[in-house]
Amino acid sequence: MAATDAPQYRIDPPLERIPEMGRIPAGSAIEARLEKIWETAPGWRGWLSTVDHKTIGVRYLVTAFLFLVIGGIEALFLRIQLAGPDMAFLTPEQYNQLFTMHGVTMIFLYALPVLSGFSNYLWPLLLGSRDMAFPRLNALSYWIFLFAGLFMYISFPLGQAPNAGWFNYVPFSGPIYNTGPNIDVFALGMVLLGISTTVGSINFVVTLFRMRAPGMTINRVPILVWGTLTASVANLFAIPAVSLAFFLLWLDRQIGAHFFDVANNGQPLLWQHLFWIFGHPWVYVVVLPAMGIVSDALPTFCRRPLVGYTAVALATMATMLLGFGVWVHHMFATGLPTVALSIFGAASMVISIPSAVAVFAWIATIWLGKPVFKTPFLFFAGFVALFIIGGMSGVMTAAVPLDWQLNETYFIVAHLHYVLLGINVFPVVGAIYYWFPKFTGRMMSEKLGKWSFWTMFIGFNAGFFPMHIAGLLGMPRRIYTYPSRMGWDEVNLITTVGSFIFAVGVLIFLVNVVLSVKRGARAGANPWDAPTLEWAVSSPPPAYNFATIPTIASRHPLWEGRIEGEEEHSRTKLEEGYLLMRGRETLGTSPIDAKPVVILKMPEDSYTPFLVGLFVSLLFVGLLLHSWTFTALMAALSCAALSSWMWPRRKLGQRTTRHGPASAGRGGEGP
Amino acid sequence: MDARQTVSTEHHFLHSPQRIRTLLALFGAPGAWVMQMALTPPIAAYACYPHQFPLPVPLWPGLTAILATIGFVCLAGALFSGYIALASWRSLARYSKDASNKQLPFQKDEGQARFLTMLGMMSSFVFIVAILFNTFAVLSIRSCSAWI
Repeated sequence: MAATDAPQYRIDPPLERIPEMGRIPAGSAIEARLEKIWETAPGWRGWLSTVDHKTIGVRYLVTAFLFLVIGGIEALFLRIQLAGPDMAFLTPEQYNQLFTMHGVTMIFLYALPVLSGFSNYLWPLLLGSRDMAFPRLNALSYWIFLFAGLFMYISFPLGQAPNAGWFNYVPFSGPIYNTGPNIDVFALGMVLLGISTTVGSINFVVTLFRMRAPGMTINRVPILVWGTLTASVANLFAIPAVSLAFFLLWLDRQIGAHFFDVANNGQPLLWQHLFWIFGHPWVYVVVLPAMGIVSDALPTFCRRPLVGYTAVALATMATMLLGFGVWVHHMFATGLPTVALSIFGAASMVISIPSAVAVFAWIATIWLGKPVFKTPFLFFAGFVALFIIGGMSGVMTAAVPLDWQLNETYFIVAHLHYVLLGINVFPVVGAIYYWFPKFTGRMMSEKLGKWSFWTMFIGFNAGFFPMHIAGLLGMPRRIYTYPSRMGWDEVNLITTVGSFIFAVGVLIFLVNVVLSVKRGARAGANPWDAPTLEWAVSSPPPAYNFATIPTIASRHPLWEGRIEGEEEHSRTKLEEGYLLMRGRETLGTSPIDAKPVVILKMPEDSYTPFLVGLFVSLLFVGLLLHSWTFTALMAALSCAALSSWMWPRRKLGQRTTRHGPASAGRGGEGP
Repeated sequence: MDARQTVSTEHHFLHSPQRIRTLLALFGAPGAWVMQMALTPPIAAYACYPHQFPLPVPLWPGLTAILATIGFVCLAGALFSGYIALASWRSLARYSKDASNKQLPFQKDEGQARFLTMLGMMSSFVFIVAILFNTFAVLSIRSCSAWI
């Protein structure tokens, strides 16, 4: 039967072309030409206009780590204030703003952007492509993220930062109880950040289904890609809820709408529903790609493939879908009917099944492999331990009666830090150690790496495990100080000491990064002897990624021949493939079975993503300042920049392969 | 190498009726769970809290029966999805045992059918359990809150 998973369109003869196959020798004139086609202009012009996914990925990583450091310093201030009873290091208002900005920074400006950094850098390399599906959209996503981060910090130096917690509950965040600009900054900043996350997510989804190398069928996709894909699809459903919530709140505050105003038949609980419909899936959004990092990188150090690839892929997707049905466990104490509590409690427990599947797969991979105790392995193994602890306390709070006891106590703070730091920060730092040679061409210091791991691991557990005890002793969250007679003195002191030890571990890691960038040992293309495609190219990769588009024959293209029973009849072709070099070109493939479909004409570097990002962000500044003329001007400039971006260009007409299913498009960017 | 050998018009995966079976196996049980989550809490919420004030007993006496019926219908859908997944898996296994068969589906499609069928079985299992949990959750408690 001739059914295909690609749409059928009429072929436009002038756009038809058969791609040539062949090899491009390293150092040849053809390779130099390819480099010229894909390189970014030097200097500030290239800096502002580049759409190279690797540059954007590194920018995401650096920016997210800067926000991590800022959020971490805020946490240290909080811990100094809580180190002993009746401390007056911070005023209550300062404490409120610091803990709010700590949460906002870590959850919105660090946790997902850092994963987007890895995915932006790695996806085309993992998938055998030359770029993301929409390179300019990718650049826009980064610029808006950067500007949204700056926007949310705009009022911090003035002592007017958001101060109602990262969940920003009404009525406290409403116009009656919070009269300053604090919440307006947060509300508008979140809507702005939502644009970045949404366009970035669309880019990931299209890239997976359109940009895989021929032969990379749906059963050969790395787990990191499954994780980011799942998170991106979830973002497309979750982000509208939180953007709407913050927009409605801004309307309540600025034009006297009453969506959340109980005195005028508004519904405060509506805020909680809208926020947590987004908020709980977001938790999985910021951990599933990190779990994917571990699933792909851990096997390298166990010298064997991941145990249960299919089960882990399914666990990733099932966790995300179930994650959309558990948001009410954040609202168990709000007086909802028992049936609702019971159902959402049940769903919250069920979610432990796919999570446990992933944990058992990692443990089995370590158990059945021959572990090599390099620094990345230590971080990934540490992550598994922390995942189990954080997961167990999560299942505990899924039980409604226990949740009522633990609600709003430090037990919850301990749980969320085990989940968010344990499942995000540890894999991320391990991933930096793992992919640093690919990013920079240099290895990081193993000695400093092991010091950083053990300091971080000990500091983390010393800092956050006692919070469970503080919670069980009844210490509420979000209090800026406490009297000495409560019996919380010792656990708080230990927590503060632990948090500083953890900070020292992070500092050692950062020192290692800085030293290794300049003085690290030179790394070859595949210093870890890893199995995935990104290690097939030089370190750092060339601007065009792959000289010829490879043809993939297995899940572990660089381990072929070593793994018993894995498609011995065919071999991945890395040196020979499609020669696409009439301008910036890459291959578009069909969504499921990755058959070649179309030659994609990729866009050149452009200032328009930067300009659109800048003008849209300034538009939000105008809204914040109530400067309607300025807002209108920025809206007009945004439209002008967008028009320039979208203007049809003849050279971006897509080329169909004569023998592939026809798919023709004109103009725009990418597929 | 001739490009014509590599660029093919044939896409082996998801040929009807296997396409329908695979999609049903993959998405049937999750769809049933989504349906249960989309129906049960809102109905229960309205029955117990129809306007501004909570009720001590549901608006409709048969609320538990309604919710249980939804649960069982969703469970039946999920079980059917699981059955389709299992049947597809067994069908693939029969092909693989037949050494004389020159057209093994997972050789032709490079393992995609086996992968997707396995995904369907696992997905069905997880969401059958999820629906069972939800159904028990409905049956094991009183419908409206006792504490308000």
